[in-house]
Amino acid sequence: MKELAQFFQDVAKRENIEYADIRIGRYRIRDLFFQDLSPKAIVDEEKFGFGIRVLYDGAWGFASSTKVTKEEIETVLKRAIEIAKASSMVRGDYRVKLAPEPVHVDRYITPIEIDPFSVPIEEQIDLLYRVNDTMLKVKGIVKTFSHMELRRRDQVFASTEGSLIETIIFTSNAGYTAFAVGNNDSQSRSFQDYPLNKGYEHIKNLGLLENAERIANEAVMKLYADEPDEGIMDLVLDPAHLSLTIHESVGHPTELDRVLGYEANYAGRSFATPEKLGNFKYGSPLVNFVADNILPGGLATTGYDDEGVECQKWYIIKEGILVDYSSTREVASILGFPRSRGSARADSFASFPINRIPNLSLMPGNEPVTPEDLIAGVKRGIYIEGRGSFSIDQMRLNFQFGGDMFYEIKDGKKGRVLKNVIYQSITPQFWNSMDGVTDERFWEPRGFVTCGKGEPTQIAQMTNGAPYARFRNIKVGRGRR
Amino acid sequence: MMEKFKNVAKKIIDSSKADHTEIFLYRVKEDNTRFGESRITQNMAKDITYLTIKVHSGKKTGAVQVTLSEDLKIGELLSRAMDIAKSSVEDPEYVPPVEKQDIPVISRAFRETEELPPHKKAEVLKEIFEDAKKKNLKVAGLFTNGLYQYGVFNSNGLEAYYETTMASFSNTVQTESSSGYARDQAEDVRNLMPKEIYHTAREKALMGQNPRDLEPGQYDVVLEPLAVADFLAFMLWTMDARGADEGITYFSGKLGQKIFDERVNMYSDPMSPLNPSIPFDGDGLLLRRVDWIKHGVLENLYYDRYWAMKQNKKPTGRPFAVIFEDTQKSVGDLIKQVEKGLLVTRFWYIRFVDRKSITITGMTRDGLFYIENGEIKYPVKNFRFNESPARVLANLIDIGKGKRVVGEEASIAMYMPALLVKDFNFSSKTEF
Repeated sequence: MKELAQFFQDVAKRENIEYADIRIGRYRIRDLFFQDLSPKAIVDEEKFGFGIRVLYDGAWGFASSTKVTKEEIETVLKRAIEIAKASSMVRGDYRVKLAPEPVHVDRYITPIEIDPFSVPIEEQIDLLYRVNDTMLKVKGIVKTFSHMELRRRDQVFASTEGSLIETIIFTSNAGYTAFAVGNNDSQSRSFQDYPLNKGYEHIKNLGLLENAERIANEAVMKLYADEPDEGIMDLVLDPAHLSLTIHESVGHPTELDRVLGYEANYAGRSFATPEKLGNFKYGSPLVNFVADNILPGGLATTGYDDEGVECQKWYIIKEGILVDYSSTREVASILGFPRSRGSARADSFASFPINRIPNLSLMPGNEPVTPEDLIAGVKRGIYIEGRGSFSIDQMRLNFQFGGDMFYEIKDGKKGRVLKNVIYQSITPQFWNSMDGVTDERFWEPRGFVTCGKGEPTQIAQMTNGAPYARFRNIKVGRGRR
Repeated sequence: MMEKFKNVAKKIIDSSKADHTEIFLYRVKEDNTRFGESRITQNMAKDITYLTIKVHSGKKTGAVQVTLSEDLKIGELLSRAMDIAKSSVEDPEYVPPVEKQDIPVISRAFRETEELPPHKKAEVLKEIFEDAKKKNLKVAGLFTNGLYQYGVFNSNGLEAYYETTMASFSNTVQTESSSGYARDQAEDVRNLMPKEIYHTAREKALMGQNPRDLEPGQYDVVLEPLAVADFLAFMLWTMDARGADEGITYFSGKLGQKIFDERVNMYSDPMSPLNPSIPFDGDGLLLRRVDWIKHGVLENLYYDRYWAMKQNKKPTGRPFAVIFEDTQKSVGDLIKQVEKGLLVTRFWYIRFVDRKSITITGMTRDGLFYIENGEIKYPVKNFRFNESPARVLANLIDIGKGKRVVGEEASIAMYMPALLVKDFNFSSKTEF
């Protein structure tokens, strides 16, 4: 792959173009999926190909192929140039400019202890089988799903600027769900959201089997739970749940391409517009969001992004104030930033890299605070664990979230289980209502491997870590009509 | 391509020592011209063929998927698939591959669509961008042309092949205070009218300027076909017989019952000219016309081959392309019937809140208007809804003219009418 990338650099430099890059990628995925005791999918995938991006007369062209040869690289390069020429016909006064980035010749590999593909598949299949078997033995459970996904991405990036970067990225993920039926109702509970860029040691440490009976029992408990009172009350949210609110209400609105209108037709725009930078009170002073693409195990920790920009760590919200965005080389240049934040990622060699949420986390507090301390400060409220329903408007303001497990809080104590809880807020109002956060002992890196954006939709992965946090006076409702 | 797919499949099946072998081939040759801020932001071409080999050893199954290449290592792939099958557990829900059937070979592919050159798309966009600039508007969207080929083959002699082209154009036109949206698609690009689609979005955006605040609550609403498609998709996904039989979904125990307004008729038929689609499902099972809802009665639920065998029913295949029977009434005719209510262009970010009652939530987007005494009075700021398609289809006031649409959530073509619905529940508002 490296030799072909160098060949590309040689031939691209001979063309009358401003810039070009190539990504040659080989993706291996092992996908295991059980429904009850039936192995619905046990699949080994391997995809191989390359994509070439060309900047000609201030406009982009992109073409890809699965025939990985020198001749095909020359053909596809010419196709990408032809497409870029078509784009330049309608660029008006705008010219794509790329924020500067040093030339990198480097190699990055996810540090792992156990190669997931070296583990016998029997062992992985057996684990999922036993998880479902355990859950199905709980009275009231009628259906179970379990899954495991193991990925290895080998990629070489090369540009006409001289960068030549090899990366090997491993991702490991597993989880499961139990459905209970009874009491004229159906409810589910999941062991969810634990993907990390790590080897199979991550799966071994998750405690999948150890938690299966508890998860199934909690699904059954929800059948007989009460629905919440509706009204204004306080919320204490766990890291798994918060990772989703962070993703939707902070991660997406601070993608600079979205802010600049590039996603207006589909994924939407953002209220967090450039004139707010440095002065907009996004949250309370306790609210600190750090983007960290060098976070060990982070799902966006890839060494370099898909346009050869080195991974970085930076504040996006500092003490409640919006201070920065995630960005690509093109959009960073539009706002005159000195460097891209290295957030251009593509879901395959056949996709154009787009501005993606980095590993973005709500930072823990400096005071020694436990989840129980947060709950103790609530007279009337709800404690929510895990992810459930979620939806947000296209400017990322009005949102509604559910959850996976709910407990009433009364007079500072966690009480009965509830079900069908939803809450609604407006993004800055919500983050400004945060008045409590636990310390670093309770911070967890939760992540996404299914973040959809772009047209045609691309799927990306990133970690959104969080501690536990408390929010005052939120509108709570019942999620069933 | 049928012959090429068949040859690849035959070679693999002939080399396989498995009890059964299934081959799935899918080619997507697609050019996507994406634009935002009235300029092309991404302009992309791809041509990928995915090959999946599934082998069965007794009741054990293993599968490999690769991108099809000229140096296809058939022996290696088969042995990887077989190793996986042997390492797996017996599937208690095992059903052998589909038997040989008479599946018609259908091509809905047009050379003009497949080969639409990038500069032709740029010429169309140039006119649109120039018009937008003159009117101080911004345009974002996607102009796609593609060829899609599907093949399913197996060691029982099954040969299923389908190909189609599709050109689509979607756009969002923005003013300082509003946006309008429209999209359309056609197998033959000569039937796609991007400038007209732009004009529709442009008019919505201009009408929508300076939206007023309105309080959320229950309103009679006119839902345009695109809004109906995305809204009903969530219900259609839950119409499987297994989920109902297991007590998980809304449809539990309702088969044969009248659950909706008697004017509701929904069916799928791959051969229907209203909404033609692939004539076989993912296993290669021939899809025929199935009435899902007839005069408001739940006539059928989706049976896959395992659940059909277990329940002694015939498998139906999954409804890929539903048709909701329409009337000749225009959106304007529906608006005329509204004393006080809202017109919804489009919904966005719809998600399940509760599967048992099919309660879903989402936002309005790109054109929400207040109606009074049968006329559109003014644009209003967007609302969140919490509502159930089951309740909506039981509370219909009227049904309008249908249109073949592809929603953002459903992503497959559905023939959906505009609907006039009583007391649609909007639970909160937003700031734009």
